[in-house]
Amino acid sequence: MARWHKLALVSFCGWIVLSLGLPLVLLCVNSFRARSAQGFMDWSVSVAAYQDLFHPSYLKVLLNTLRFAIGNAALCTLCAVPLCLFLKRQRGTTVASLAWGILVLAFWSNMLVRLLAFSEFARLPFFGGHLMFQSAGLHLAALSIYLPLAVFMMRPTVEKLDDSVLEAAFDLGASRRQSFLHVTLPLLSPGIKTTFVFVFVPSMGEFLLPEIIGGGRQYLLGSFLQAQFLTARNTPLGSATLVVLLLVSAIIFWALERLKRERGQS
Amino acid sequence: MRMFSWSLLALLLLPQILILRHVFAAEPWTRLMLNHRLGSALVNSLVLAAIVAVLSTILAWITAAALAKVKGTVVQRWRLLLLLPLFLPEISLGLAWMNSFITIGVPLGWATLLLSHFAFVFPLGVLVMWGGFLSLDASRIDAARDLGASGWKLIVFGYWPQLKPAVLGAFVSCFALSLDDFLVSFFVKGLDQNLLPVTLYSMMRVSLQPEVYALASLLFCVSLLVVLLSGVWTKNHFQKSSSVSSRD
Repeated sequence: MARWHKLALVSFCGWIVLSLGLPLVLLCVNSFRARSAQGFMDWSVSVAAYQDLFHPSYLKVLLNTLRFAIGNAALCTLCAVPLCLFLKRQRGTTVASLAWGILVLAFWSNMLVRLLAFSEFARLPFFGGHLMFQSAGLHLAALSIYLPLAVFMMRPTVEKLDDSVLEAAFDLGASRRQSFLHVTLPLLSPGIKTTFVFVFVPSMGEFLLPEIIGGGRQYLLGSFLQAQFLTARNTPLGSATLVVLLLVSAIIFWALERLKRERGQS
Repeated sequence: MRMFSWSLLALLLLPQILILRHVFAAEPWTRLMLNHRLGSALVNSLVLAAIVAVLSTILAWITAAALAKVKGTVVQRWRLLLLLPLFLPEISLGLAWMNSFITIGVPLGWATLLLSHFAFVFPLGVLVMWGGFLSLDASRIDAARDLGASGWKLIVFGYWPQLKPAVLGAFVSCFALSLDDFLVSFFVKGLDQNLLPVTLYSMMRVSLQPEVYALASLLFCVSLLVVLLSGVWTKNHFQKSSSVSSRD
């Protein structure tokens, strides 16, 4: 038994330390290093990178990204709820397995193939050129990419929804709107929170989407990070941004789990 | 609600169907055959994904076997960390790993690609295998042991029949995850490594050649085939297992 314990500990902790811990430490180290005008880093300590984060032009990138991520998460969650209710209502029919197949297929297809397909779709004369390189097109593309994930996150809660509770609400004289607002929505709220967060965090670092569908006109955090590390050679600033992004994501993840555990206990 | 749901599903499916119309022309295919850069990129990606998937499935098997036996310790609570690579923005992992390799002084190349893909894919393998171990019927393993099976025999005749779905699931999802990955490969690869998603991206950035469409429709058909096959397979599997349980 002791041998198993040791093996689990070694491979599991080894993975955590080497692939999560060490990179985070090195990012922190690099974010506090000073950088000369030519882009060379030395080992003197400086907080210039963190001060730069508050520069108005960088703050604007951050705000743009937040707006995109929040909008995308809200849109995906809003669309996932009726889709899950539809799947639940059609359970066991061919329609449901067809719809489910489409979702699984979209989830497992290559990201670049999907983006290529979407850019082809957005260039259709039907849309009159209103989608490509526009923020509406960006959101529609983001919806088509994150919707399967949102549905997978939302579905367990919707499937658990008890129809008899709704019937009780109707028997007590609630209208459709009232029963949705006061019965369905509160019951779905844990699922809605999870879905929102699981779409929000990945879309903060979205890189391919704004580059290909946005055509570089939508300058989001992903492109910003890539530029700092690869072209602008401002590793301290890139590291500082990344440290903040990772910490915020980790805190959100931890808070979500905490919420889940508390709900499980109560 | 029905109309709304169908229009959402159409948004997912229509663009991909639209790509397929390029299948019927001959020119993209001949150009794809002649494009050696894409060909070698495809082979490189497949080989890398296969190595990563085999490696991480084997290690995930061992780790999950060990983790499933450890109960009520710190490890159980830290299990959540396995979800992090799937949760965090992918670009942050790619950049964080690139930053570590450069800071430590490891030259970017096949080794760094292999390491990062493994680091990215391994937790998913562990999660899938863990699920397999949790639904394992321990009495059958004990029976095999009582009948004198040990070592390899125990694995082949005791564990394998029960764990087969989990092992295949872990292998397929690791393979697909590694093959599809763009952001991690993009940052941790060196100059000479030619991988399919990265090549596809650079071709999409420069100009859309016809062979890109041919390749895209090919990839779409492969995913369609995999989804259909796995759907049929899980259906058969469930039918078989439900008929077994009803016989009991």
